Amino acid sequence: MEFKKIGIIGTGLMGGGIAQVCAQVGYETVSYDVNEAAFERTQGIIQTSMDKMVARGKFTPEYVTEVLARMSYTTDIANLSDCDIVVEAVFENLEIKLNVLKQVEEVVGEKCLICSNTSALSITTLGTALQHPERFMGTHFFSPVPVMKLVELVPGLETSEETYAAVAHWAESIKKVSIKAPDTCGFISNRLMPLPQNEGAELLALGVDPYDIDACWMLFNQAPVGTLSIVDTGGAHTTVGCLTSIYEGMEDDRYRPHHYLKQLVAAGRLGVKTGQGIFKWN
Amino acid sequence: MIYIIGDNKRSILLQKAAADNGLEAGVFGGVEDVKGECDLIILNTGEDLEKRRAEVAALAEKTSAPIAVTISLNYACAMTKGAADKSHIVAIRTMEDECIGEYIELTKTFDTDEGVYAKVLEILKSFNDRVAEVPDIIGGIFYRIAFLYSNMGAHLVSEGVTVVDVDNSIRYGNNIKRPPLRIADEVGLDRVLEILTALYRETGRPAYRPSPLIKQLVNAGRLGKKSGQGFYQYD
Repeated sequence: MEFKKIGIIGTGLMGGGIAQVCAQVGYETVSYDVNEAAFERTQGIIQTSMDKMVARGKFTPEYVTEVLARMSYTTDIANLSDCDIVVEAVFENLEIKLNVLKQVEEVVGEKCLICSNTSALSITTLGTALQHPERFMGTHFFSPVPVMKLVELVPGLETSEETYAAVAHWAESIKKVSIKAPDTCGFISNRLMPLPQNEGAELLALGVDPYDIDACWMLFNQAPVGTLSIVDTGGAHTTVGCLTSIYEGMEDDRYRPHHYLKQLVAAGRLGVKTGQGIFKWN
Repeated sequence: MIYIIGDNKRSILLQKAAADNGLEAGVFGGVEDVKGECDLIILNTGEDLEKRRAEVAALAEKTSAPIAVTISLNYACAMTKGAADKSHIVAIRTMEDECIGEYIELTKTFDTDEGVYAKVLEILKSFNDRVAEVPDIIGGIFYRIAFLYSNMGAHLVSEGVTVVDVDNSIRYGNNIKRPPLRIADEVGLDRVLEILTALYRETGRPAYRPSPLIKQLVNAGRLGKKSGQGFYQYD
């Protein structure tokens, strides 16, 4: 299946990033949002991101102009009608996503593929919004989308093999490494990532220095960032939320959030954004 | 002068790290080889607990020099049982045979003299980039965090995820250069299973409950790189 025009629902960090990587490889994109004021902010973020690449000599100014010219914005969802694939990337709320997906299916053509970008919600459940769930599946891009190479592709129970193959082809065309994830809480990456964070919290409770934990982690794994620093980057509330959703969703006791992380949340120590979490941040 | 007892790879690497930092260090085969004065004795002689306790007791009887006993899945305190004088005994923990000279953990026992501890810390800092001072907990920092991804990765493979996709999720989703199932193969799945089993038994924490797939691979003799097959196939 050939893709020419990509529709993106939502112009937040993820939606904007997905539109950008599509336009960068030559696709025409149309981004839909209910709020026109959001467009200017998104365009500014994309412009800044691409200006950095120009400064590093990766992009030419002419290329940036071409890419930006391929990107359009609309507040009328009917303008997605001629898209080959529509990626819904709105807020992580089941009811909102179900409602948006219904609207998408009403305006797009019968051959259009539909994806939901989510890090947590059940793709099979989201597919129930559609008359034709066989043309629907999940994607999980990583932030920032233009930088991170990975995308998890998640088929739901009703997703057809043709849909999966076509979306995998599209993912490859936008220069992402795709992995096939089961439609379970946390998919693949989010079932792995919080475990050392939770056990790191156990070590903190036992009196271990967090700098030593991160140093050990980075050295052994050849990782650019420590596992506890990642907790502080998103905030302990994010880690607790991720752990809780898998703990409750899969009844898996490996993900029971450690009390140390809960204490950080209770104390409002949410990491980088509050100036203090596991570490102190300036 | 540092005496390193135990003729094995880790001892050689410790000796090299010390020598690279201008310290004199010698590797010896056994406790009986310790003669004369030295600043630190590193006892690095395998995993047999009873044998090592006897060695620690013999060394403590023989010398008053600080004794650093290498441990992995034991408590530091477990090493001093039987020693008449426990005040000059500490424990150290490395990342198996990796990153020697870059990272080492130091743990005191209930009986370690503070002056001895400070002296050992100073010596270790002189030939290690980072010395983590760790309470006497099973597995220290390294073993508690090193194989969590490998274990859960194995669970995911059991659920139908491919080995390559598990490793790619970490490599490209977290920018980690050493993916977990590849690491497990390199360390040896029998060793990974031993580590997880010990941690689960001692801490009760479910994250260490070994994946049945790792048990199956070990039972099948697929131990990773050293046997030619583990999660991956090796030529």
